This record gives sequence, C-alpha cells and structure tokens, in this order.
Amino acid sequence: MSKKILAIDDEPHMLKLLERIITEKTSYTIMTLNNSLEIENVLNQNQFDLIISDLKMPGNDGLDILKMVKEKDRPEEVIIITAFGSIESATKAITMGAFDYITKPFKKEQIIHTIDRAMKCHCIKDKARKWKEILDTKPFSKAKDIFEVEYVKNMSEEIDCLPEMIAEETGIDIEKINTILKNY
Amino acid sequence: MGIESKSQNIQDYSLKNFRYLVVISLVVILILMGVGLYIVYHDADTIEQHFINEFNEQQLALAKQVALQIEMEIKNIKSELDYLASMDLNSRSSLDVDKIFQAVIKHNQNNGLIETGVFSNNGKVYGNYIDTTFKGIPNSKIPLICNNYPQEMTMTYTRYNMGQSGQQLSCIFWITKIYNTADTVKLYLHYDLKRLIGKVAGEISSGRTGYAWVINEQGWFVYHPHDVYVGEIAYLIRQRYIPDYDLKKINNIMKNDMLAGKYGTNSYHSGTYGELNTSVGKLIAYAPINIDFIQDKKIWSIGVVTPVSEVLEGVLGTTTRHIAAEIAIIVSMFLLGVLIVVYERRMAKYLSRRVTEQKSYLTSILQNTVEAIIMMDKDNKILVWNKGAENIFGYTEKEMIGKTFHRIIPPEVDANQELEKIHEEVATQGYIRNYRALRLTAEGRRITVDLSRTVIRDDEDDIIGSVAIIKDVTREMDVEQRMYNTEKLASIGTLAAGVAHEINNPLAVILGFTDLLKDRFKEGSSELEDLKIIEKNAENAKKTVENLLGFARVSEGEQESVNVNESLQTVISIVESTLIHEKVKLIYEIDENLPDVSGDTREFQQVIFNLINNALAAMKGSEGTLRVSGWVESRRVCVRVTDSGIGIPDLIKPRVFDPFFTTKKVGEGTGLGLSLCYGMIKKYGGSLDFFSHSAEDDPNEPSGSSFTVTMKFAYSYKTEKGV
Repeated sequence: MSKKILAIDDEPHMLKLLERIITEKTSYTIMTLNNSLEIENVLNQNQFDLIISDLKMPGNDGLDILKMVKEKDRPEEVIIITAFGSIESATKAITMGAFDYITKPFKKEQIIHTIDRAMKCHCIKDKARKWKEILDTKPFSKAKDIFEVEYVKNMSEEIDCLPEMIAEETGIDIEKINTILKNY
Repeated sequence: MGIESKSQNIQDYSLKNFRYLVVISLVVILILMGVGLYIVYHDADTIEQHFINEFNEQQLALAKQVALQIEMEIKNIKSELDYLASMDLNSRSSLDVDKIFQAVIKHNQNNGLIETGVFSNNGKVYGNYIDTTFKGIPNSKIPLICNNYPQEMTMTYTRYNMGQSGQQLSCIFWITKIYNTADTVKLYLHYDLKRLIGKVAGEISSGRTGYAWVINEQGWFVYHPHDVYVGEIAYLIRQRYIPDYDLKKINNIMKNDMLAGKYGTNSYHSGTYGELNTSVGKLIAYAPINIDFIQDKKIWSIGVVTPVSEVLEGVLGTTTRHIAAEIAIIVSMFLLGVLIVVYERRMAKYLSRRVTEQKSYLTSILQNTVEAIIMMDKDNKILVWNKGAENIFGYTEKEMIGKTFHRIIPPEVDANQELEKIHEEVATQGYIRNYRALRLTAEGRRITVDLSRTVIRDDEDDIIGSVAIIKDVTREMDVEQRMYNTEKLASIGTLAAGVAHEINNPLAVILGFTDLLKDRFKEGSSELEDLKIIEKNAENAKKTVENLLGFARVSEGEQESVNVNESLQTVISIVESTLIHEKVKLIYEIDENLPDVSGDTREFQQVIFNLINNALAAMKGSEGTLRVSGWVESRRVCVRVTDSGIGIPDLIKPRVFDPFFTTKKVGEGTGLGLSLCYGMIKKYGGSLDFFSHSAEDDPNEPSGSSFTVTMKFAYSYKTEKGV
C-alpha cells in the first residue's frame, strides 16, 4: 500500500514541481492543495502520512496547518517549506512539532531525502503507537489476541509468504492465521 | 558695557527728574503752608475786627438806648415841674402845699431828687422840701443860682466839694410861675445827678466789666461809676490820674464827636481801667443825650466803654484754637511726610537689595549656563560673551567683546551672506529660532550649533541690540545622523527582505524544474549544457538573494561566542598570499587573549575578510600598509582594519553602508559587502564605525580609511569571569 503525501502551497508552479519530483522520483502518492483554507475539509475526508506545506500563504499559513494537525492529534508528519531568511519561523515550526523544514530554493534530492526520513519516522511512530495500544489492553487474553493478529500481519508483510509457511515457522495454528489474513 | 550704561543713564535721568519734582513739591508745599498760615492769621485779624465792630455796634445801640432813657428821665422832671406849676399854690392852704411837695419828694426820691420847693424871685424861699433820707448837699445856694426867670424849664449845675468822696454834682431844674405881676415865684427840683443818671447808666453792663459814663456839654463827668470823676472836667481829671499817658485820642473823640452831639464808635488806649493802672485798649460807643426841652438846650453824651481784651477773649480763644488746629494739621502732615519718606527709603533699600539679588542671580545664570549667551549691539558687535560661549567656542570674553561673529564662521561658509541672512530675519521677524549653522572653534574644530536670537528693545521700543542663545549640538547631530542611518538601513533591509522573498519563489521553481529536466538528458548533450547554464545563473541570483536576506536578518539562531584571536588568525592566513602578491605590508597588532565576543564565528570572519578585501581594493597598485589591530575598551573588543588607500570622499561617506552602493566597476562588486558586515555586526549588538580621509577632499593630508568593529563580550565569558 503506497503512502500518501499532501502538498499545500499557494503557488501552483511550486505545487507542480513538488508533484513532479514525488511522482517521478519516489513511490509515494501525492495530493496537492492550492487553497490552504480547504485544509480542514481535506483532512476530515482523508488521512495522510505526510503533509508538506509552504510557510507563508494567504489564508491558513504553514504554522496554522501545523497547529491544526497537532491539536487534533493527527498522525501526519509535517514538513515546512520556507524561503531563505525566515529561519526564525522555521525554528518556531520545529518547536511546534514540525518534522523538519526545507528552505527555498531547494534541490530535489533535499526534498526526497527529507520525505524519506519523515516517512520512516512516521512508520516507527505508527508501530510504537500500536505497541502501546497492545500493552495498554486489558485483560491479557484480549491483548494476546490483538498481538497475535499484529504478529501474523507483520509476518505476512515481511516475509510475504504462504500461511502454511508462517504456521510452520511460528507455530501458530494455520486456521487462525487464515482467519486473520482473511479479515486483514 | 553700553546697554548697562545706557540704562544707568536713564536711571540717573529719572532720578534727577524725581529730585527736581521733590524740590518743587517742597517749595509749593511751603508756599501753600505760608499762605494758609497768613490767611488764618489775617482771618483772625479780620474776625477780631469784625467782632470788635459787632460789639461796638451793640454797645452803640446800648448807648443810644440809655441816652433815650436819660432823656426820658429828664422829660419826666419837666412834666413834674409842669405839674407843680399847674397847681394854684397861692390859693391853697399851706398844709395842702406841704402835702403836694412831700408827695413830689416821695415820688422822686428814688430818681435822685434831693429837694424841691418854691422861692420868690427876690430869693426868698417860701418853702423848701428836702429828702430827709439824703444826706450831704446843703440847699442854701439855690436862690443864688436861679436868678433869672425863664418861662421854660431851666437847668443849672451845682457842684459841691464833698471832701473825701470828691465832687458831688447835682442839678437844679426850675421854672417860673407867675400868679400875677406881683407874685412871681420859681418852682424848682434839685436832683442828685449821680443818682438820677446812675439809675439808668449805672445799670449798664457791656461785656463783662464794661460801663457807661456821661459828660455834659462842658466836658464834665455828669456820671461816672467812679465817684471821684463825677463833677470833674474829663480832660483834667484823666490828666490828673494818668499824667504819663497820651490821651489825645479820647480827648479828640470827646471834643469832636461826643460834645458835637454825634453817634459813633471808636477805640482808644487808656492808662487806667477800674483799679488797674495799666495800658488798656478800650472800645467806646457814644450817643448824644439831647436835652432840648429846657430853655438853653444842652447836649450831653453818654459813652459806653469796654476793654478790648475782654471783647477779644472769646475771639482770641477761637483764633488760638484755630491756629492750634492748623499747626496740628501741619505738624501731622509733616510727620506723615517724614513717615512716608522713611517708608520710601526703607522700601527703596529693600528693593535695591532685591534688585542686587536678582542681578546677581541673573549674572550667575548668564555666566554659568552651558549654552552660550551672547548679546550684541545694533551693529552686531558683541557686548556680552558668557562662560558658555567661552566653553563652546574657545574664545575668551576679552577676545570677543566689540567684535563681530566673522571669526567663528568657518571659511567654507560665506560669513557675510549667512550673517546677513540671520540679521535680516531677526530684524524683520524680531527673532530667529533653532537655526542650525556650522561654526569654527578657537582650536579649529567645526561644530554644529543651534542658535536662537531675539532683538532687545528699549522703553521707547527702539531696537538697541539682540541676544543670542547658542547650543553646541554637534553630538546630537552625530547621534541623529547615526539614528537616521540605522533607520535607513533597517528600512532598506525590510524592503530587501520583501523583494528577496518574492524572487525566491520563482527561483525555486526555476531551479527545481531545471533540476528535474537535467535528469532527462544524457551527459554531454547540448540540452544538458543549456540547462546547466540556466541553473548556474539561477544559482547566482539565489546567492544575491541570500546575501540580501543576510543583511536584512535581525537575529538568527542561538548566540554563539567567537574567539577573536583564532578567527583573526584564520582570516589572516587566508589573505596572506594575496598581501604578498599585492606587495602590501601587514602590521598585526592584536592583544593576546582577547575575550570571546558574542557572534557567529563564520560571520565574524566574513566581516573581517570583507573589510580586508575592501582595504586591499583601496590600496590596489600602491604598495600600501594594512594595519589590523585589536584591543579591549570598556567591556568591548575592538578590531580595527586600517589601510593607506585612496580613502572615502566626504560626499559618499553617508552611503557606504547602503546595500548595492559600490564604487567598484560593474561585475567587480555587488555593493553588499559593507552592508552585510553592518547587518552581521548589528545582529549581535556590536557596532561598525569608520573614519576616512580622501585625497579628493584634502590632498595635503595622508589618505586612508579605518574601519572599527566593536563587539560585546560573549555571555559565557561575562558569567565565567564575573565581568
């Protein structure tokens, strides 16, 4: 399943550039938003893994969007694009919880590298959250069930093999694995 | 000084005037007082005279009245005689006749009737009736005296020497009665004149002690309160009693007026009055007593006399009080005057003390103010040159008094034109305010002054000069200039930042797409080469924008500390080879162990690098000297880069920190170097100053520039060392 990126900028050419870099140079899918005032709608209807936002925009600016994401406790990471010289705003963004900032003009490698890092970080955070959920679950039998499901899912994703092989390697009942994978 | 002496003159003048006024007033007051006193005195005299006249008039009325009464009395005697004559005494019994005469005696004895009777024409007395109560006058003489036979009543005086009590004057009135030719008798009445007249005249009192006397037509005293006078001739008796006294006046009055039967009033001096034998002024009123109903008519005269002193007693009292009141008023006025003078003198003393005090205040203010206070006369020659002026311009009072301002105006300013301009404005407007001008001090320093000048007028509103207050505002101007520069740079920075942001976006798009496009072409293809050119130029634009933003940045990131010594060493090692190549001599005078300063090491190095680069550019081809020095000064580290280059002309000095301002050829410099340095240093609270001398301005002095970077001590350094 491909990871999703939302890019927000009032400059259509800049959006187009980001779209081109991401589609041509990465495996992620990108959605672009020209009007920052629509952000709330878009976020309500979709979930993304990463948001790339320009800092200075009419309507909601980058910091407003970042604030919105953090206040609603959404899982998206946020990368802020700033012009050279607005370092104060960029550092402010970092303290407010942005993943990183990129200054304009940038090289495509800079963008790609930062996005990759963000995605990795997002993935880890996701996992950590799941682990915490399992650990917080009561009673133990239910936690065990959830864990089993996650365990099997992870196996199937990582090894990408048949249920029989998983059953043989992990010692979990084949029927159970089938049920889990079916539901998943 | 001129103005003071002028005001002194005015003061003297008014003082003199005042003195004249006082003297004139005094004279007038004295004259008035004299006139007043004279009038009062004269008035007293007039009042006195008036009073005397009034009194005498009254006395005259009294005299007239008494004269009338005396006439009446004597008329009564005539009727009495007529009554007796009407009786036919012959046909009556002697008893009857006795009764009639007794009755007459009884009836008239109070009027002074001494005796009455009838006698024959040959002197035989038929009957003689005497007032037995009266003692003294014998009657034997009567027939001798009455020897004629008047048909009308006749009067004869008889005088008796009464011894001790002097003369006794009496008067016999008789009338002839003819019964038939053979029988003719005389009826007579013998009166004691003293009692007859004294009954009326003796009652008179004029004033307090005034009295009346009566003289007969012969000048005898018919009546006088003093018995000794009666029966005497007035001239003689007076002469006898007061022989040393000149009695001409009263004698004349008697002779010319009284005995002539006139009315009148007069006054005279007499040596006696009552018992007093002193000179006494007397008032006299006199009236005639006409006794015209007797056969040979007689005129007596009555005189009423009162001493003047008595009359004047009241007047004198009034006048004395009057004069006393006048004197009291004059004295009190004099005292009031004295009081006023004393008060005035005290006041004047107090005021003069106040004036002295105020004057000393003013003088002290004038002398001790920091501002120059300069006073000029009408021809703009200096009259007053205070300490402030001495301090500001360096010239002493002695050097400037009587001079004009020309010597403190620098040669590059047209002194005549500027002074003319100021004078004209002061003359037309009355003042000039906050005029900024360039001035030259005694040491040859140029200072900027703020001058205000106002004309001074005298009491007649004529201009007598002007006063100028001058402030040295060189420092303020300097600060203002700096503030203005800072403001200017800050606003340029803000503008630049805005522009840079706008350029950044399209640059990012251009660079981004160029980057993407490059991947599509093989190495060595002409398209790829073209794209690289686009990218290169876009990158240049990007750098310019970065620099511009770098200048505009206010602060960025955390404050670091810079090791000045190390940083300088690094920069020197970079430029060393260039110095050798350009044949520039380096003098390196950096204090060892300079404290760390606040700032970014890279940026600090860039600043020094830029300054050295500029210095080298200024010395290009002249084998000059580069001096880099560093020291600590009031808790700051100063680093100075000095060159012996061409210097910066005065004209462009204010613009050296402006972004994009450059004297280099197009392509050699961006004009951002110094403005960047300025931005970097300011960001850490430091300052960047310079002084420079260009050969263009003055070829006689060595040219060159010197830029000084002043940086604050680093925070960590301060806390560690407790600075």
